[in-house]
Amino acid sequence: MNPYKILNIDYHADKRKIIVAVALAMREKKFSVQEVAIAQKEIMNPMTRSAHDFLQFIDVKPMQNQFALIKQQKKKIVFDLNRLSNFDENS
Amino acid sequence: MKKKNKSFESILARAEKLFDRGNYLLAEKEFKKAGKIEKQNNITEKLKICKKETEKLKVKDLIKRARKYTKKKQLRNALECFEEAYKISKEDSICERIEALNRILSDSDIEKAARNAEAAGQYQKAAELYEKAFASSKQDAHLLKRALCLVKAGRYEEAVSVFKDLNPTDFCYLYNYGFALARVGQYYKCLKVWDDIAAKNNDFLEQKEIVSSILADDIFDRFNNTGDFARLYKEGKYFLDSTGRQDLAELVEYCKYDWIKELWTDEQYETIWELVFDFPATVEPALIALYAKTCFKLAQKSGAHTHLSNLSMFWLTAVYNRELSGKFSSEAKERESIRQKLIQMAESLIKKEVDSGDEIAQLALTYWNIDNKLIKYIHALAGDREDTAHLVCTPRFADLFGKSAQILRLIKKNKTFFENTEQYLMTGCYYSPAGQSMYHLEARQYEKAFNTLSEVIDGDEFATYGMLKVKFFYGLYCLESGERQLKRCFDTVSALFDISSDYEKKLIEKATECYELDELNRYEEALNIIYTKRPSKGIKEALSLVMSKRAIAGYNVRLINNKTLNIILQKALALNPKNEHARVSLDDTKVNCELIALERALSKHKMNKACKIVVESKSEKVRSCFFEFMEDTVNALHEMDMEDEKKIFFLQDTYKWCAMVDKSHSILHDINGMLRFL
Repeated sequence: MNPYKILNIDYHADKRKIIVAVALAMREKKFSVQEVAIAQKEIMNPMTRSAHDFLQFIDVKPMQNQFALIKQQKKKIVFDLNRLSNFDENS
Repeated sequence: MKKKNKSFESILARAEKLFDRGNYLLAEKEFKKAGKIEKQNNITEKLKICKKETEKLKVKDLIKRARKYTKKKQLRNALECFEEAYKISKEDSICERIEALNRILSDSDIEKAARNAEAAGQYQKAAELYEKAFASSKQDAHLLKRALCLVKAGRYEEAVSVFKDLNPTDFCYLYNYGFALARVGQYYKCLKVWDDIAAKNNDFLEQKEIVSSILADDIFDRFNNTGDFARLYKEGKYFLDSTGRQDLAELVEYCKYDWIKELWTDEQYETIWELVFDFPATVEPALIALYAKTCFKLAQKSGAHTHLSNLSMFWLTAVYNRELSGKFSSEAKERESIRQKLIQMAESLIKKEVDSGDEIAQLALTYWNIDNKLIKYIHALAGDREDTAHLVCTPRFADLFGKSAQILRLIKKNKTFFENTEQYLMTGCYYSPAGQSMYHLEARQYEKAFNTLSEVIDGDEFATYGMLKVKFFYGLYCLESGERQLKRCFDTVSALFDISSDYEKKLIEKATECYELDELNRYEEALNIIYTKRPSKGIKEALSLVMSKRAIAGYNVRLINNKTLNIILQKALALNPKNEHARVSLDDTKVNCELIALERALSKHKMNKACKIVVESKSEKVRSCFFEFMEDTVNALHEMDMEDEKKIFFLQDTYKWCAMVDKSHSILHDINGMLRFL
């Protein structure tokens, strides 16, 4: 169960946004009333929310930060290809 | 007049004869001659028939010739024949043949023109002509030639659009398709197409290298300008794999993680796992979290149970990781509660699968329980210390990322932390080279555990402990299943008993509980092996008991005789004089032996020997047997037809024998009475 998905909210959603999201989710009926209620309960409780924060989101920045050279531009090789006739005999 | 009539008749007769023979051509001539002499209706009719039949023959002949020309590829001659035939017969089928031939001749003309244009270097014109040729022939060969001419004409985009729907296999077309792709900026596709060319031509290889370099530059450019990370990663990975160059390695990795971010949103966890499965030498906490979460999500998906056993390895490592758990909460107490909540979430996931009867899940739960126990110890040892916090991980994780040696050093350094030696050794063992065997052992996969045992190097105490434990439990498994590996398993077991006497107790308990002859045989063999190395009181008693039980079981199925039984029981008693089972059995066996000897002596009338057996025996049963025999013999004397003198003689002997055994036995009184009577 992913309460963020059920309520269609992001990681930073505050209490007010959650309440609005609950109302919308109830109206949309994409998930059952029970599912929405559980999602609300889980997300309103700081401890369970913290557990869901861990499970539902990933952070790739620390891995990407290891690569410092990525933005370096390489000198472009001049594009001057000539068609080879080596293979023409086979046609 | 007479001559005229004769001539007419003979001409007509000849004409009729030719007509009847089917020679309509000559018949027609004769009928014509006859008709000139005398006009008759039947001649006119016959002439009509002859004409018709002659035409038919002519058409047939023309078609035959046309077919011959077609076979010889002389299509124009064939066409002339068909046209002539059609003029005569006006048949639709001939008309169709004419149309078909005209089409072929026209195509051939176009193709010829196309070839000529191509040979003259007019590639644009040749391409157009090949397109026309294709319009009527519908042959891919014409399209391929068209595409080739487009390449030669420098119209690369058009060439690519033609090539892409075809499936060229010829090196010429493959090369030119790739070349066109390169010229329109599709370097990756170009190289993929060129990969199918097996030729090792130097010019070609050089050109391939140039395109590879251009691809690398192009990837750099697109990385800065577009966000198609999946494509950038795939093309970059291809570049790295095909060229072996490392200049794009970091960018490719960077793109991989951006793509992973997209895949996570799209819940494409399988693809993420494939991307991160190639584990690096060092691992960032964020990457541990990624492994853990992907495993969790995959385990949540039905049918992805193979990830359950990986779950404990990564999940527990992640939730105990100092940096990751630090983000749960700034409060230590709350942090621990969240950690426990996360542990409980994963455990529930595994248990749910176990409840559905999944065997893999059961195995995963076993691994989970091991990992959960061990990581608590390591966390307690190193979790709060800056220098050692990174060592908090599960054994399989440690093995995967080369942390095992450091963890083992940590455990050794903190021996006093553990409750007892066995807990210390057991914890270290899982992080040692014997760790994998220990997991198998815990999962009751005894054979697997035994077969995966690694060699113990430099007297490593943890691996040694693992080896001893695996051998012991595999030994117990062999004892129960009948596998013949007892010597290999129990040869070293005394060292394990020194670590913990619980193992010795366990073996003794199992030995005393068995009753089956085969099993008793195996236990006796195992206990004998152990006894030679460790003659402890418990082992001695167990061996003594198993020996006596095995001897009785063997005797009961007539595998051993009384004598052997007696010897074995005596040996068992020698080992343990307090072995009541052996003692009682030995007494019973002795009585049985005495009874057999007594019966044999009595039957052979060796009365002195019989008396000796009874006197020496301590058994009341032997005594009773003797006196019962004597009473029966004395009673039988009444009915015997024997002289009194002889009866007296016999009774005196009997008295003597009975008195030798028991001077106060009542039979002596009875014999005396009988003697007085006689």
